[in-house]
Amino acid sequence: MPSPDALRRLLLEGAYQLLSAYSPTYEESRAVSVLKRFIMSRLRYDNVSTDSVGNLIASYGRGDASIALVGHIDTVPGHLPVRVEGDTIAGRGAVDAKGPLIAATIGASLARDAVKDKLRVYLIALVGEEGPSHGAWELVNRGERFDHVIILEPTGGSGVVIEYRGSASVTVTCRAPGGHTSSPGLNVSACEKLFQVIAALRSGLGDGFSVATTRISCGDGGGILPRTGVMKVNVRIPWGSGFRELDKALTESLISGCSYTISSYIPPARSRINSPLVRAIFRSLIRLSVRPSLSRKAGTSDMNILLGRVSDDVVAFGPGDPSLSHTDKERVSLKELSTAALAYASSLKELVNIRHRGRESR
Amino acid sequence: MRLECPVCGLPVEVPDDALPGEVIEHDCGTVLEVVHDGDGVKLKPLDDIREDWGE
Repeated sequence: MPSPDALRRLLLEGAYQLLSAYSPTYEESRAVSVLKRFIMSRLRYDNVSTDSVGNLIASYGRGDASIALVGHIDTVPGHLPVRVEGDTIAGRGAVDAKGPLIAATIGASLARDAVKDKLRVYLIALVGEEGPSHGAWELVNRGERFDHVIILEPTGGSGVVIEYRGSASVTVTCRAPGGHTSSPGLNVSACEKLFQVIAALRSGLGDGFSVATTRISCGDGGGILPRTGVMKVNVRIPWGSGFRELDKALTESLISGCSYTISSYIPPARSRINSPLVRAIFRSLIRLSVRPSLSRKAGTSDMNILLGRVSDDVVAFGPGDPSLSHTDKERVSLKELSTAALAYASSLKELVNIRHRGRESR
Repeated sequence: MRLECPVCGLPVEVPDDALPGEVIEHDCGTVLEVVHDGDGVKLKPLDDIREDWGE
């Protein structure tokens, strides 16, 4: 294990290089090359490659058990200068999620000697997470399977996320006969119909749902009551609910002349609390004098796609304040990155021990 | 080791090497936290599963 200073220097070097390679969705190739070069020159993996969509995959180890540390290398758009101020590094993706990605990349390398004979370890930097998640879907489509997956997202460095809400993109279209704007009582505007439908949808969905309007197109500002209105909304779906509840609420919200389509749907996801991975991360944090907590997220991540398809044991964990994600204030301290790197390394060792003891007790 | 669920009173299997701060979900649905109890450990209901923002 390197000294604290050496680990800090390595994290700073990796984070600076990765943040300097601006990589909004669909423009990840330079950042992938930078990370690949860093891994090959500074870390201890046996294989580093990219797949057909541009995901980076580094691996080492052998044995019948496997774990994938899965982060994403794309960011939301909006270039930010990379700045190092004292113990903090700032830049686009420092929090979401190049900080967690570099901490895990280095942390997994640190665990190599202790786990390489009992565990196959994969570090995967996905493309497209801030877009259509084509990087994650590529893993699903080619049939990848791992015993355990850690999603590398910011969870404050102590939160172990076991639950994400689902997400649906819905388009509501309303039509009306038109009419003079001086007499809206005679006819209803398509715009007003849209507002009625969304209000009914909000009250019809149960606790834990949320509805965010993302686009409205309605009328032309002239003297005719708008004949057509289109509204796009994003609905987040809590654990315990699903497509059926959403579809029912939408159907019951409709008024005459209105219809809807659901263009995308990702179900909510929840992992088992009594899983080897939750236990391994909790134990590693406790040993690092960090008090771990269980968390559920209001958002949606690649965990929603990978849980049940690529692995049955998936949680999210990573350094960084999640409230800074997607803001121009993205920054993370090297202390947070160091603790997280040690936590990832220690979690792999704990996981090997937990699996070994489980086998002995059977 | 076998401890008692403080909510339903039924037994809970806890790994012998469990550390204070670890969590276990019991069959009754309660999420339990391992806490210090003198030289040993006991279980108490977890205060809460934290709600967190974003992805």
